[in-house]
Amino acid sequence: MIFFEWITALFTLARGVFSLLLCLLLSLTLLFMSAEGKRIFYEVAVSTVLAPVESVIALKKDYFRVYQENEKLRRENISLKVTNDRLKEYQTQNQRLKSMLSFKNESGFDLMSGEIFSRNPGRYVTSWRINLGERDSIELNMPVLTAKGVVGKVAKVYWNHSLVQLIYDPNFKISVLNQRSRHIAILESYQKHEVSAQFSGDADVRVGDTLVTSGLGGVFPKGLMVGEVQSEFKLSNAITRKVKVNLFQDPHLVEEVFVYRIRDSWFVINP
Amino acid sequence: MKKFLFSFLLLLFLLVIQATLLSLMAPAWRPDLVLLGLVVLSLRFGSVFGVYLGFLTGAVQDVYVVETLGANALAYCLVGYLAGLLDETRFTFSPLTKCLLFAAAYGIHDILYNLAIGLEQPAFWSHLLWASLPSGIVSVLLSIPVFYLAPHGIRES
Repeated sequence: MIFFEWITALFTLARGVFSLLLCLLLSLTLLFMSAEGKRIFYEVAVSTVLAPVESVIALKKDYFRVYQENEKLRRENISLKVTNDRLKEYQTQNQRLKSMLSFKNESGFDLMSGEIFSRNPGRYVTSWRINLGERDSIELNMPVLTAKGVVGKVAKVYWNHSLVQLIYDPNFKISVLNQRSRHIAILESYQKHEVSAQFSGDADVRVGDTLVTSGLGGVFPKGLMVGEVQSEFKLSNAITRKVKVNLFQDPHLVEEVFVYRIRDSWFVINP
Repeated sequence: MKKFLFSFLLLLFLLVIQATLLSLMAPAWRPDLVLLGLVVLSLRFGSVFGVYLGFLTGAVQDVYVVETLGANALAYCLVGYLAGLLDETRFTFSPLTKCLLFAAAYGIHDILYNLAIGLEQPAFWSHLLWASLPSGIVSVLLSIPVFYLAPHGIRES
């Protein structure tokens, strides 16, 4: 029994030495292997045992490369998006300005172009502020229009800006003319952003008729485009005919405007 | 067997870290994480464990440099064996002593490796001085927190 324990202890002690010798032998075999043997060992090891490790290393390297590339592309993408947005904005602005320029040249009016820089903050926009004022020879009641049609008039003038009263303002009334039948009407805003024209009861008005400024009232010169007749209201009396008008220029969609530098042909002299 | 397999996988993971993240560092200042892991595990689990673990890990590392196939296996198995002789279940060391043991193991490994790959006399010393020494200093510095944090082996009563 004692002999057996002694043998076991010796074997336990010798196990380390034996293992070391075995590993040293294997290492030296590898070290002094021929070039061809090393190549075969390498190929076998790489293709079988080390393939998963290799794939992890490759994946890791690939991950970093893709990450860096992704970061670079993301930055580039943001930059390009900003540039693209800016170019799109320039493009639409360019189209607007081109049509305005062409209108200005063709109309022969003394037009001054300006930009809207603020709108009244309420839910129903009835006025704007534009960047034209006394310094630009802007005066009270000058018509404000776009290439498509009338949108309002100058209601207040400051040194470097003006307040524009829009057609949508319920206090704004304008005399219009049916281009086809030559009947005159009063155009006004009857609901928040709806516009109507009131003709006399016997006036000849049809849906689709074009309405232009009549020149009466002295503020708007004759012939400026305003809108077209959309539908007729059914009224109980026959004294007037009221039609709904679709404006040629929706004031909500305007960014640049013209101020027609024409003085109103009437004025009040304070007593 | 389970703990051996786990230890081997841990060393392979360290090898991957060394081949990827640490490859961004200058070679002379690159710590040897695999050797550090081997010494930690050998001190904990003994010489037989250390010698086989060292041999296998070294062989895997050698595959990447076919010309010196077997050099790392030789150096690692000897270091694993020597570190395993100071098995923590029989001896008690402070973390600082373990760092010194690791420094010695690092020196032994590099000397054995340089001898195994057959470096000639001037290259041998210059390699030890300019490559092994800075890398060894970084490795030993890195080993300080490792030995302070690594759990101790349970000493036999």
